[in-house]
Amino acid sequence: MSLLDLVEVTKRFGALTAVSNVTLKVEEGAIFGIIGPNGAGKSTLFNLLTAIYRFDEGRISVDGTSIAGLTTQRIARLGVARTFQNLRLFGNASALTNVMVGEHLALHSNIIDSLLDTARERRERKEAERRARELLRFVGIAGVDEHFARNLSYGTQRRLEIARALAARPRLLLLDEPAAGLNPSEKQDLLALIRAIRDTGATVLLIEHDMGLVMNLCERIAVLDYGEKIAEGTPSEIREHPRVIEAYLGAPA
Amino acid sequence: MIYAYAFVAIAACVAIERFHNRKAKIAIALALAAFLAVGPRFYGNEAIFSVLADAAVYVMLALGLNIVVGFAGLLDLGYAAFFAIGAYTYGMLASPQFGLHLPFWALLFLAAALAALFGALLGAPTLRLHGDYLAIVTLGFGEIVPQIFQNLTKYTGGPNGIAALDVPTFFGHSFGASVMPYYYIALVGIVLALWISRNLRESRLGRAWMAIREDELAAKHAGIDVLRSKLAAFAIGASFSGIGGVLFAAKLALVSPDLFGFQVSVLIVSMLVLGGMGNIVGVVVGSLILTIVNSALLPQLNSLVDASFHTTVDLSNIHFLIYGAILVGIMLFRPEGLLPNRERRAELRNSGEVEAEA
Ligand SMILES: Nc1ncnc2c1ncn2[C@@H]1O[C@H](COP(=O)(O)OP(=O)(O)O)[C@@H](O)[C@H]1O
Ligand SMILES: [Mg+2]
Repeated sequence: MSLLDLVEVTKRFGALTAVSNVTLKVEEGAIFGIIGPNGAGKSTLFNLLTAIYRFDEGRISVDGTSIAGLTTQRIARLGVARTFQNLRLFGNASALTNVMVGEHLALHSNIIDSLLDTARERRERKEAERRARELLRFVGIAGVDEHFARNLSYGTQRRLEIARALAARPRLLLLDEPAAGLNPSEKQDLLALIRAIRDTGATVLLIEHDMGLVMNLCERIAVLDYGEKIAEGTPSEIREHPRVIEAYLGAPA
Repeated sequence: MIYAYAFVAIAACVAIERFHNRKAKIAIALALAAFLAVGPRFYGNEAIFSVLADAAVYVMLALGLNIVVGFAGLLDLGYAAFFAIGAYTYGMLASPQFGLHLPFWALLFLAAALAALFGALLGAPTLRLHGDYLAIVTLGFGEIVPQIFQNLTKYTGGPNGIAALDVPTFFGHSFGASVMPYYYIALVGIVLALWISRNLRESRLGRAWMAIREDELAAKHAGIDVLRSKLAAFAIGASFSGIGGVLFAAKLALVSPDLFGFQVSVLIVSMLVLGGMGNIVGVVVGSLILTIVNSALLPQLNSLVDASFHTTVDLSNIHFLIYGAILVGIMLFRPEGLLPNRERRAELRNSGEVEAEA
């Protein structure tokens, strides 16, 4: 069974069909890429996966569980975590706290523990903090722990958001244009990071504009254009695909 | 003089805020507690400690509202409603009204529970609203609750309220006419409220509140149950107010609907704004300053004016003008409040420290 399974999914905004009849399977352990020109419906697809929007038709399931009607929070419990195309960090909190929030579902202290600062609360806080520091190191930004998120450089913020998503120990990680705004050397680091993430056992689904990066990184790629999936295959298949060439030459991103 | 106590308390709070050494902070806090506990043996009179006991109740209220507004970021303009619920719990259950004379100590807990319950009941349908909309609904609630108490004349004594409330006892000893027991109970209440506030801020729930306040959508993606977390903030905040209400009613031996109007909610919000929303020590300072201005400075100013100009003006009529002036002044010169926390200072002043590149 695939970890993520979309069957004929459609999403309309009024007269605009942002996602049109898309069928897609992502296998566990894959690094799967989604590409397509601006406005092709890539981010909308992610927003359907985390229930920011409801899809109008079709089925989506994560590890066999249908997500129709589930809230964002319930989907997070299924092991789906994400980053956003336009960063959504907790700007006025430290980098460390940002990551600790990501660990929310991994902690079990309840309201009584929180009110009374019980032994469980303290133990979990210590453990959460230790893990958060470890994650900051893992994504390559050790040392920024106490800085406010919003004072960090753009590239650091992108990594911090990935660290926050990883803190939930996701089975499926959704990355929306993680390389946007990064310089070539930062992109190389990101490539290595995403591979390292996959090696920890997570499945990565990523939206990316940088063709070089996607071709290098992903085992499979799906191409969206005007909400429709026009191609899917390995990087070499995608590179040769006539409709992809047409879409990219016809409507450069 | 009352200002001596207020000054020492405020100075100690500022020192606690300025020192970075944890041991120094604790030492100052303990010294302040000892001073406030032992001081009355040497200096002061009933009138002073009556005002200080009221101030302490307001500090508790402000700490409770701080959980709702400062921690969870939910603007609640009807917080006095829970104060009223606490006070009427005592008024109805420890008075000749129904001939029920339940013990003060039990009613402290009952009022906390009832206020929390009503907090949750109000929260459940309204917490889906955001920002201004939530503020308006809570404002309405704050108006409706005293109205209900006013109109349920059969149970609540209507506009006159309920008088001759029971005088509490402590292991058989009546509090008598002294205000000192209320002063000490309120001090213990503050210590507990401070402890709980600190616990919450550093907790899993506290981090969830921060996340909701900063970016609700991102919070949901971390698996946070936004509605439940907000309900928890409402209920916990309300329970502080319920306890404050019992203390207030027992000390005054009276409840009436006009004690819990909109001006009380505004006063408490002003305390947060003045002191520094979200910051526990700042909130304490803000509420001390405003209560002292309210209960000591203004009356004295009033008699001074009357004596100098042979008038009989009533300065209490311009309380709102004074709060207004304080709030506008704060917004202009120090929008983050007198003693803000690091987060809020960063939020309102765009000059936060910049990353030393990793
Ligand atoms: N909330 C919305 N309301 C209306 N139209 C939207 C909304 N979100 C996205 N769209 C439209 O859907 C299309 C796909 O957008 P998006 O998924 O963001 O594209 P991509 O991420 O591939 O660049 C665009 O035409 C966009 O304007
Ligand atoms: Mg997009």
